[in-house]
Amino acid sequence: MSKGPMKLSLGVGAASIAASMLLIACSAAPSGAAPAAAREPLRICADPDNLPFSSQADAAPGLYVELGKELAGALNRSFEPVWSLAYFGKRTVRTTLLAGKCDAYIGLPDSKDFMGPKLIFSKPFLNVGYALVTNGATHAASLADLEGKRVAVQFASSPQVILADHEEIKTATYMDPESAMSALATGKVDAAIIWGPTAGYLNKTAYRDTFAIVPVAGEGMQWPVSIGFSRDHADLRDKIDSVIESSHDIVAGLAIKYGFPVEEPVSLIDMSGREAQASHEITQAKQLISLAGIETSVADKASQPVPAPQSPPAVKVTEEVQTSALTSSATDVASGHEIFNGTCSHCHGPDAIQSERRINLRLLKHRYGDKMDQIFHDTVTRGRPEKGMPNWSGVFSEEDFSKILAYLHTVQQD
Amino acid sequence: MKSLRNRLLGSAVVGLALAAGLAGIARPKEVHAGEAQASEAKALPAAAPGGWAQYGNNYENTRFSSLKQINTQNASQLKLAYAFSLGSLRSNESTPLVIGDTLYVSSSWGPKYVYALEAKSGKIKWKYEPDIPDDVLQFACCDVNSRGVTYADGKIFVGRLDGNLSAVDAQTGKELWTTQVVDYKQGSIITSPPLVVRNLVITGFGGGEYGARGSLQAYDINTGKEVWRTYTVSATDADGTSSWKGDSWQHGGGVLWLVGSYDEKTDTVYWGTSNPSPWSTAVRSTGTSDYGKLTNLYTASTLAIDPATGKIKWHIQGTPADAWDYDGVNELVLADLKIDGKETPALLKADRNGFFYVANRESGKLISAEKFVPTNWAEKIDIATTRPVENPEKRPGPGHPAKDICPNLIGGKNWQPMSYSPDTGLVYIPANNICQDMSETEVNYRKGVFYLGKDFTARPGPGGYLGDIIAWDPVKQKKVWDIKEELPFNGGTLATAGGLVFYGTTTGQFKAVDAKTGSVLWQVGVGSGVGAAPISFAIDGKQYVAVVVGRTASIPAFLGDIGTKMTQATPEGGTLFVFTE
Repeated sequence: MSKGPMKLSLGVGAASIAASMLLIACSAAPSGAAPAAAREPLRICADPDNLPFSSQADAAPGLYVELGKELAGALNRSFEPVWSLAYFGKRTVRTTLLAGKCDAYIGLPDSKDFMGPKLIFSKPFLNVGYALVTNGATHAASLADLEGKRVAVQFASSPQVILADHEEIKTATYMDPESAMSALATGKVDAAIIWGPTAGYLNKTAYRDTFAIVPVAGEGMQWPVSIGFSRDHADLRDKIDSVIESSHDIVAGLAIKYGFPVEEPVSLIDMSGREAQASHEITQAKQLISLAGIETSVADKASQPVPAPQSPPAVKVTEEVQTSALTSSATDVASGHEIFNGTCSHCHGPDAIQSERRINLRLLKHRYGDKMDQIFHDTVTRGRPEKGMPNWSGVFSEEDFSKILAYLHTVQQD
Repeated sequence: MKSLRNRLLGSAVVGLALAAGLAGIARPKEVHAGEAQASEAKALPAAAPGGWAQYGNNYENTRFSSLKQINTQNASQLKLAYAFSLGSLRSNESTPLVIGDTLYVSSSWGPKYVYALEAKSGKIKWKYEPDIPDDVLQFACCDVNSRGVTYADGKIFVGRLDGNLSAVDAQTGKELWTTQVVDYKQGSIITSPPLVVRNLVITGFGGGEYGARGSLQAYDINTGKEVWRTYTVSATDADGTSSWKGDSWQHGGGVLWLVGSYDEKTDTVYWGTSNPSPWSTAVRSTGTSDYGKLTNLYTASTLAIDPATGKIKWHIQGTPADAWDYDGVNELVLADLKIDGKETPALLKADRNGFFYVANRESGKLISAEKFVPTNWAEKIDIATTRPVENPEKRPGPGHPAKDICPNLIGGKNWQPMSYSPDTGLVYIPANNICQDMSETEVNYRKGVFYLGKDFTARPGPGGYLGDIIAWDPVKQKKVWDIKEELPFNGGTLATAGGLVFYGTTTGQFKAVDAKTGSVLWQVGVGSGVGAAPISFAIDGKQYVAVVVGRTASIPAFLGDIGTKMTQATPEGGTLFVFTE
């Protein structure tokens, strides 16, 4: 998933139009970086463990961090991330950005109501929101299609509120999109209406694009996303605005790289709303982006009717399989190897071959001895955000972890 | 063996047990054996007249000291005995304990420190510094506070922000055991001291807004092993019916983040539960005042619990299907009152929802409930059914914003404890007077995800003042006197046999007032806002009054312009002040 080819594949001519598929239209602004600010770092606040948005991991820094680097470059400034967990969003913004610890906070809802006048925004650069996620067995494009189905929603989210009025749909509430996706993958639910970017990213990185993902329209469902600044830094905001338009192609590429849903939002209340809501510009952009040769697997899956296959999806895990997970059979090792190379190899190297000792997992036994299993489990379920290792709970099941570990046991070196 | 996690947990438990065993063997002295036996009978010392035995001084949570050397005649002569820096700033909310000649006090941030001090001089005997993870602030909804520790059986029990409960040797400060109560990374933290009944250390935790399922949990006093766990929200309630919509109970809140009380006569623990979650009432109820059976039990309630088993004996729900964040956690004060000529074992609660509840603590029957602050979300509480008679216009719901709701979400009274004087028969309530508009439309943000949260705009209640220290007659259910304070969220109160009430303010003043009249007899600036309640104790025949100072930092963020005034009034702080004549 290197970003080089991705960017190259975006034809320059198509780019600006392609960008508008994902982006809010922005008026042209004069460019011109202020020489006085040259080499001064652009400090961007970001969560160190929050893919697809941001991550401390160099291999996959996330859309917001990659955009931050681009913007810093465009302003002839160096990029300096300021890491801060964002469990309570407003508090994080208050204690980092508004306390002067960074210059900009990428990825905030572009709303005057969000934190009042002390926060000002760039032009929006992207739309984000909730999305309907279905597997091949459950084709759904409206609430009517979900009748009698079990549907995962996130705690305290707009979809949870909307489905609360539809008793014909059985909702299952999860604390985060990761666990909702896991429930979908293990067949505990038939569909999910959850945070689109996270669903898309997990679909791409952990579920081999098994699921169809369609953004959902409606109140509280979609938001323009911007870069936030303290109101004292209108000058920096203006400079960012002057270069953000030329970053649109980059944002478009990054959105696809990180699996953000790129379909136009669809109203679940009325299937026909799908056509009504699709803007002409968006449709046109979509055609062009396809012409530009960008990988659009997510979009394609979502836009095509998915026939209901008889066989379950590849990642579906039954309870029976889970109970025998610890036997470390050759099948488990093979399966663990596959998961490892599909995801973990991103940082730890294909087949766990990694020259950097610090993240060389062939040395786990050497380093931790009998505690290897414990430390492996602690690390994958809690993450080491300060070192760039995400928490994989909810993405992978305990059974997956066991398989990965079984594989790693076969490649340990002294 | 179903999963790797189970397998690892199994070995972890063995390891813990082994470690606990070793700790026991390694202890050099036998002095604790006798105390362990004593714990079977009664773990807590009686509220010794010269000491301060636990959070509320006694199991009844009265915060009344029978000392009277300092009284209405000489209160104006009070002087500083000593001050002690807690080494940690902001949200210092601890009630110190005084056991024998030792004063125990915790700081904020974890707690960062628990100190044992020579009570008359402030000289350090030991300091305990629990290993609190750096990221814990991320998960603390309402600041990094600690409201104190609990003493019993020669041990100090510490509820921690990281969801752990620790036991520490009261003589040495050495940690004896630590057990995980809750995973703090789900937004659940412990900020209040546990309640010890016989051989059980009982605690709840916070995080009701963030999807926790509330429970009260009891641990063995010697090992930290869990003995029972009682969930406060379930698919079906005790009577077999459901008071929740769909699967909403699974993340239904109803946490017990404040303190419990205990009635030895009937062997009953009393504890209040928080509001339900999520915010949106449509998810868990009907979204209107016509909520029918969807009341979200046992949230925003007073619970009576059998400490031996954790079984819920009875409940009174203050705010069914809460839509205002009217937590029902406020402390229960147990007092024997003469009501209609009859000696009545009463239970008193100044609820966040603006009503002062008086119930028979043995039968669970509500006796009366009256407004103690300006309150308009309900006209009254129907005594027979305990149900509020709501004003439907004041209930915010989906597509239904509500204006000028009183009280606002911090409530007519928040966590700051009231006191009860058997001498005056009055309760001294640190009350708030704030109203608000509320809607369910504000965009919010959390780890990259946007969602609609509750929008609440706070403004001063009728009369324009924000805080009110109220002397309340619980029998007549009426105000006797009050002192209006310019800011809200003032400190808890202490009542003494010297005819005094002590409290600190958000503006950083510490006051002694006449318990009968409310005349201010003495006050002194203490440098930072006060949230904690004062205590009193005597050493070598000399009476002292102590208070922890250090204003809140997070609560003002919920209060807009009012919050700005609170943070501008004083700097952050963290000091124990001890006064004497």
